[in-house]
Amino acid sequence: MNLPTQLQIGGKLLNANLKQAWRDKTNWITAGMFAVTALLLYSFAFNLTTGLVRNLLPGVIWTVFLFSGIFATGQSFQHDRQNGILDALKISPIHPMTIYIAKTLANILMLLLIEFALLLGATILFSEPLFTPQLLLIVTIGTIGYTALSTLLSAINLDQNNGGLLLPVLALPLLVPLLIASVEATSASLQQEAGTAPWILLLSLFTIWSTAIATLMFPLAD
Amino acid sequence: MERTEKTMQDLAIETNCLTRRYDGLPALNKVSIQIASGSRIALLGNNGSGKTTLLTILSTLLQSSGGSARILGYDVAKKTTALRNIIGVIRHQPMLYENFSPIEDLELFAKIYQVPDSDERIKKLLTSVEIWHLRDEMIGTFSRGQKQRLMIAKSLLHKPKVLLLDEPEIGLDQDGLRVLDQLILMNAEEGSTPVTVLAATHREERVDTWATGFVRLERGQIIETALSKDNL
Repeated sequence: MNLPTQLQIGGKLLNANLKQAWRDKTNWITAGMFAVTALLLYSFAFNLTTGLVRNLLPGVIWTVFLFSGIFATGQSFQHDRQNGILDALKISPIHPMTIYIAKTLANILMLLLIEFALLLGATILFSEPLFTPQLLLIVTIGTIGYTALSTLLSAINLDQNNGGLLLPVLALPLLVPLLIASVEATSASLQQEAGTAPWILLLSLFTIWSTAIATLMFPLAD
Repeated sequence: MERTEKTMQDLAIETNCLTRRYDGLPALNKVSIQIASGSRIALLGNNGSGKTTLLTILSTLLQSSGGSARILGYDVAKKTTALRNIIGVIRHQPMLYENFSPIEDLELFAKIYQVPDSDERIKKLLTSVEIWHLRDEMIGTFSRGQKQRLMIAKSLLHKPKVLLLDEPEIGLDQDGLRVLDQLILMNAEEGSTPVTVLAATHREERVDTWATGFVRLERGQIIETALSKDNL
């Protein structure tokens, strides 16, 4: 099957994944509720002046994003496995990478929706301008990076029959460099430092690396 | 299956000393079969005899531990696109999007298999399995039998040349069984190339209604085979 056909089928599969996620909201509602609760807790816990909030916000934001992302993507292949859909796709002529990319893109789009809503909420709660183009770019790049890895690990995780325990154990150490770059880039952006660009570049490199590795490894997770 | 001097073109399914071990224990032990194109073979045996393992390997979903398997000359281990285009599969578990309608599910897979005139084909199949009236309902609300009818339609969607069916009778009532028999027989006669069917079943009393032969497994090994209907 040639590339344009795979892209066309990938588009259909992405659409199917989004439709499926929209209709079965379990993972996304859990992730969204966790994120809102965590953000509210942080806003009450840190009764801080504006200057101090800026120091803590990058950590707060990425902790909330990371764990809500694990809630949302950790079981992303679970329903497909339970319903036999993953088997139906595996025995079809579709390339395994297309299956992976369509699922990852659906996860990224859904997570970005939650994260952008959270950034809006955090802007109000912390009285900090968080909905800036630069910060949205950082969040988008970071989200692509960690979703690529966590979606791959959720596929590997399925075969281990361990109720999702492996995902955090495997994912978190692998995500550390990417998360450090995300936090540093966010911090530099919030402090309006001149040195934001190198962190964004480093974050982009980690994202490219994790996305490429995950895409190539997915067929082996068979 | 009796060893015959079939050419590659005549053989739809061929396994040679096919073996699969789980934790060192053989689920399938050096199974060698040759199934001619157009045959409809029942795979018989008790639970744990290796029927599902054999079908799962042939469906390209499981790697064998040893030996080889070919479908219409394609090596199963290589999992090529060409091979996947010619097999139709029903597994023990339905392979359906629970929160899709039958139309949505079949449209997606028609796109994946690049089925020409897909709307017409989908309508024809859903009508054949007698669930056209449920075409816009969510699959999650279906009974097991209705899901199985949909799976029968889905397995035939891309006009496969080889059907690998794991207990296709599950959940079907008498009417459903009639539909299954008709489609297996009808499909075998559709198109220029005859469709080959290998179906695991526990309903031995029904085998003579559709099968042209059988293979009986026990503890991962073939213990009995018959090629023609006279042997049933």
